[in-house]
Amino acid sequence: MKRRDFIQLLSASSMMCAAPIGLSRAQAAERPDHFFVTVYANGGWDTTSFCDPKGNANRSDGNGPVNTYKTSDIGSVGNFKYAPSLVGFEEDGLGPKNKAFFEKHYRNMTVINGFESLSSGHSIKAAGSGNMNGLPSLSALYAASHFAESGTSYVSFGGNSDTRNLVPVSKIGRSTKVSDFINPNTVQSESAYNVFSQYRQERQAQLLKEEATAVRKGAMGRLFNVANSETSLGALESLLPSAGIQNGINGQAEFAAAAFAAGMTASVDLQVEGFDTHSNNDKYQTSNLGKMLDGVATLYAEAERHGIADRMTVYMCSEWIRTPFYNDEKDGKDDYGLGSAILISPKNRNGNGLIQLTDPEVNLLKANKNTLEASDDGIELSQHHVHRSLRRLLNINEQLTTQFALDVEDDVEFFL
Amino acid sequence: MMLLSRLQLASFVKGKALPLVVALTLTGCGPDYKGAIEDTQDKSEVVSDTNGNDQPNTDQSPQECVSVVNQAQHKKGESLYVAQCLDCHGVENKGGAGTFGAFDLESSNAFLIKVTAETMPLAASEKCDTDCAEDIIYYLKPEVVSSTQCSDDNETPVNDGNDTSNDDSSNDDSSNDDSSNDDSSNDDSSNDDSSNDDSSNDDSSNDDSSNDDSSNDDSSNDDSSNDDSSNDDSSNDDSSNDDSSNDDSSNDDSSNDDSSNDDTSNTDMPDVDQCDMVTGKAYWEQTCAFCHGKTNQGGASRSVDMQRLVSQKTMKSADDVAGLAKYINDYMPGTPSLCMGDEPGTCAYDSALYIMKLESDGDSCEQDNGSQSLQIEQKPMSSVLYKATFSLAGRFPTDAEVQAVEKNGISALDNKLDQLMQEEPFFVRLKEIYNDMLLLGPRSADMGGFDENWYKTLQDNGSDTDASRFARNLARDAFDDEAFHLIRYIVENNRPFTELLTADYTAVNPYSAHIMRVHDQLSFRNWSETPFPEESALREDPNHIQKVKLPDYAHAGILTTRLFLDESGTSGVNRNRHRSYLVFEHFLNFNLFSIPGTRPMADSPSKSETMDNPTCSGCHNIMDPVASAFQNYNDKGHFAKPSRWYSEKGEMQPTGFAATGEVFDPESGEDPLQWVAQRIAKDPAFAEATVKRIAEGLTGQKMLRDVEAILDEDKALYELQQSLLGVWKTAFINSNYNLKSLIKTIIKSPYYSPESVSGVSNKVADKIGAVRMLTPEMVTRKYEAAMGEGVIEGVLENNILYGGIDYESVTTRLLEPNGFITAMQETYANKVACDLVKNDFDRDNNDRLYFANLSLDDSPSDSGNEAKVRQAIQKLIWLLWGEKVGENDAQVTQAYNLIKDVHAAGMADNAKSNNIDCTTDNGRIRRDDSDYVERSWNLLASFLLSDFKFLYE
Repeated sequence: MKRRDFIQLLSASSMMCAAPIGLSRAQAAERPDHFFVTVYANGGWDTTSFCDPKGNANRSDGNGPVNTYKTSDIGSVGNFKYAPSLVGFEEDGLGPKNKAFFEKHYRNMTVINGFESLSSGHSIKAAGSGNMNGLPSLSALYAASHFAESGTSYVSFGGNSDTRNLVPVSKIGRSTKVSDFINPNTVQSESAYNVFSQYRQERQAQLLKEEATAVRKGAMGRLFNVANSETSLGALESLLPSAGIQNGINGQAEFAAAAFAAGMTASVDLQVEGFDTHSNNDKYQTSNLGKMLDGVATLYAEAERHGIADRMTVYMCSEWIRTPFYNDEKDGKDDYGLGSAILISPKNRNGNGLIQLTDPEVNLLKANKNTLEASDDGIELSQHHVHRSLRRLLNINEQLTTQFALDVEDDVEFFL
Repeated sequence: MMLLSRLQLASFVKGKALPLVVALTLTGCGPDYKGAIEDTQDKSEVVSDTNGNDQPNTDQSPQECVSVVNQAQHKKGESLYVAQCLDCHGVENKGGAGTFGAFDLESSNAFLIKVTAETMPLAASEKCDTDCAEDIIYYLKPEVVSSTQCSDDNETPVNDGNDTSNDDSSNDDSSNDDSSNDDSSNDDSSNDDSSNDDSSNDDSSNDDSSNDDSSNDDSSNDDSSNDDSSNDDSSNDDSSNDDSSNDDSSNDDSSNDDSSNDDTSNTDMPDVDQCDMVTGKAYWEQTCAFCHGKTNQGGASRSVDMQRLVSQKTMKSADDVAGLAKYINDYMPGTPSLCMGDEPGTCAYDSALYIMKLESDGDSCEQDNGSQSLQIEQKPMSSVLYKATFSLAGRFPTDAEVQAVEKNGISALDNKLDQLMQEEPFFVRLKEIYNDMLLLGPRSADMGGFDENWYKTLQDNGSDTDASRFARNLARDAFDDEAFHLIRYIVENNRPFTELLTADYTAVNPYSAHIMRVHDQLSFRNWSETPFPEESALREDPNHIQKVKLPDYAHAGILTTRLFLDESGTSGVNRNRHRSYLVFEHFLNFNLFSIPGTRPMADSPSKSETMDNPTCSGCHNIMDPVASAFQNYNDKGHFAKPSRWYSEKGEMQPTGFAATGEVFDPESGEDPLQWVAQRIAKDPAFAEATVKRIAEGLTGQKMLRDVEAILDEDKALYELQQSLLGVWKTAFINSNYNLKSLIKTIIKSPYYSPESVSGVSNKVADKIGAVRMLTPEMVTRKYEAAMGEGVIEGVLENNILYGGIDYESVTTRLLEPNGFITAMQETYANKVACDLVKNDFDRDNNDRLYFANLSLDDSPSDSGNEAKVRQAIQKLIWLLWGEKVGENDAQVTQAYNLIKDVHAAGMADNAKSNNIDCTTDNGRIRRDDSDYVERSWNLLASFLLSDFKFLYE
């Protein structure tokens, strides 16, 4: 019996009525028509190697240059500037990756360089993905607002995925072999496993028919419904690359696109670690920014393959940025309490929009809250301003917005 | 199976407002359970029944009267409703926004208008005056409106004396202090300091912050509270009343009221009967039922105990209405506007009158007509034993245990449960049950003041050794487990569980004893399994828990364990309010945020606002006396007396316990926290909270609080659960608070192992009986029990993915499966099947769990092997599903056909590999499986391991 047939069988039988909540739950939940991805650079990214390049002019305070690459090598696409490859790591090709990234997305992209990050530490207290001060992450709010009925509405590969119990979060750790769960059969012949699967479905139907207590019948219905649903994990198999899932963020991206396409998930957190570069900053930022950009490229490639790229919003962030100078030891850069963030979305009305609020030495500039241009008479922007605007863009449920209020006086519009 | 006698539980529904009156019969081995009940399908039927019985139904059909509805007024009401009410009560009052249900329209128009005018909308009640309220109620109740207009006298007052002129009089009350609520707008954000609490989880420090958080529940509570806001409340001003004189008059009044209510026979008061003192009932339900239950059966807090109030001299006698009214007025929380005063006609008085009437006439209020009894039949005793053995001891029952229970029934089960609760895994399970509530998780407590370097005695010249590292971790874990050691000590030694709060000692194992510097006072049994037998310091059994009294320390059970104090934290603004919140939440079954009320500005200039401002004091009068009791413990949990506590400066309520009205005497020489803990433990709500926790832990079902029962079926479930909890609570108290006895009581209840449920509608039956998806911890234990040996990794490592909690960012278990969980279930069924089959075939024939007399050379397709294969399947079904079945049972036959068919398919399509390579966590040797026998057994085992009956209990 095929999965679809089994569901039809359930629907047609009185058993469906016996378990009204469970059986109807996944099916009743309308699939989200838009998807949200947080790409998290865990540890604190060096945005001067990416979207806020400064070059090698010496700083006025004698702390040397912000970067080692020449200022004249800084590239541009649209209104944006991007960093070239870092000196000594040219073969890793960060510069070309930056260029490709901006060229592909600049029309739907807003870059905000410069706001108070408000992160009070790495890990759970990092504010970039939204959960400053114990608030739920933006992904959790999105899932709760747009796909709360689904048990798999929010998938997180890392970063900060506090949900405040709004929705379940499916956390997939580094050691988790998702492919094992998608392809549970490792030793059986296909024919034998098909027979086995058919017996399981017959058994499920039999159980539902014979169970005498409504409470158990309801629980069975809910279990079988999920297990046989079109949005079950097994259903992803046909949507994932035939060669299998890659490692790292590329695999995360492949999974995310497939989960969106299957109607299983509304929001996903992707993550690259290793940005806390207190030593060997340029080496590791090159490597990890490169991975992150590869991951975003994979995400869009897969989303395009599934025909959903135009229904996806991507938000790239980190807990903070790196100091605009190298430290005394091993060419590292330490934690620096400002933030940069990038939004790519077809909903973004501020495409090709650069909000530049750092000066050449990465000092925070005040902004005119209407024009978002640097202004001495303006206000200092913070993570809270950014997330308020993001919440509006993402149409986060008003009740949740109130319940998990962001403590900031001014409303600033970055994207609409 | 036994059919037990019936026992009427009086605690059930007595009014018409509840849709279901339950008559519960539990069939099985437990104590007699019986509830009430009558399935009355829906509210409207109940109402019409009552009308039909009690009074002439003068209602005109809505259709007839709609034509005379003032359309303009109706329209106006609609627009006012949309603007001010819709967000909370939903479109057309169908419930909405998730926080509030539909506004209950069963009360009289007069009352509804009064309440609406005085309290709605929540954050700004001044926005809706009486005219506005009238329009809204007319919009919501057009049929009543129309009937009113059809026969003008319908708006005749319903209530007692002075209320006669309803609307107007009501305005009066309201007028006063509504204003005070205004600020309330803050609700959400602001919550009181208390709110911090929750937040404190993460950032404990910034209490004020309010955020958040707390929120979850709370904020919503805030909101919710609103509705009801009506309350009585603090402000004791009027007080003086004449307790005495009132008595009589009040009684008179009451009787008058009643009769007048009944007699009025208003067409817009269809639901008045002798038990239904409309005003008092409505006040009660809107204000008091939050905590005390709709019929004073207990809700978020315990029921009002008249006898206790008499014994405290709060009331002169059990029928002292005035005394009770004064008590309500003086001490009960809520917004002040509606409930000032305690004289007849005030809500305090009417509520007192109503609850007394309910107490005295309770039985006669029940509706017995058409009752249909709910029956729960218990599973066979062997299945009960199977479920209990796995749940409590994480293993399958032995054949001998099953035989004993099958032969001797309940008494054997009772004995067996006692034995199971002596096994080590039981204490692991007990910890899980309490940790799910306490959320102490795998956290580390501050060790300040203790010997955290004890392990260094095992170092080698200052350098760590394997033994010293082991000792450090062992001691660290033991120190952090102090609260759970205490629970274990109490339970293991059959001490009254009230010692959870009142113990004047703490509990240690050998290693935490070292850290607490009390090891020398104790001796511990030998640990034969120590990994470091050469180290004498590591030869003591870490599972040997003993009690000990720390010097210069005022123990108050779990309340003074270091991790509890450290995790709950405090600050100069919070002042132990989060700790107080936790005490009420965990040990008194009461969420302080469910108290109706609002929070004014957080940065009030007044240092004593929580005492002076009646908007605050309603909640703080309850919370702060317990918070003050923690004054001798700092934010890290160290015993550190403050030079001067806030109550001494008049900025906070002093130590006390509002439920009894007692205030701690600082000159008594007692410790304030010990003093409060004694009173909490004695309070019936402590027993309720304990029963609720254990019931939830054992059944996996949430035991609803009154405020959580919104849908009709939830209300019915709530009533049923209350009846069960009530019986279990009584048994628990009668056992002198013996937790093992409580666990046995619940397990022996048919509710725990229902075979069938009948006598109620599907909607209700769908929630009756214990069933749950095994937690990651439980399913891992079951996989390993099925394998017989070895470990299975992956589920616990992906705990959150499987619906578990991390005690910090994810604190609520998933009760329903999702796509990841079902995928993991299939994956691990396959993995475990590999080990299960290999392990069992590797055992000597006599030691096998499943496959006696079979070999891997026996083809399952060979009919000559059918009998042996069927016997193996029978054993698999027993051990993996807990069902004793015959060899020709349909389930056995289906499984037998499965193994034959997969074997045939595998043989026909063996392209994948001739070899089997089950990659499990226990190592696996490739084996030639060209005959596809082992893989066929693997699939059969996987079939059972991925079944509902394995994955759920």
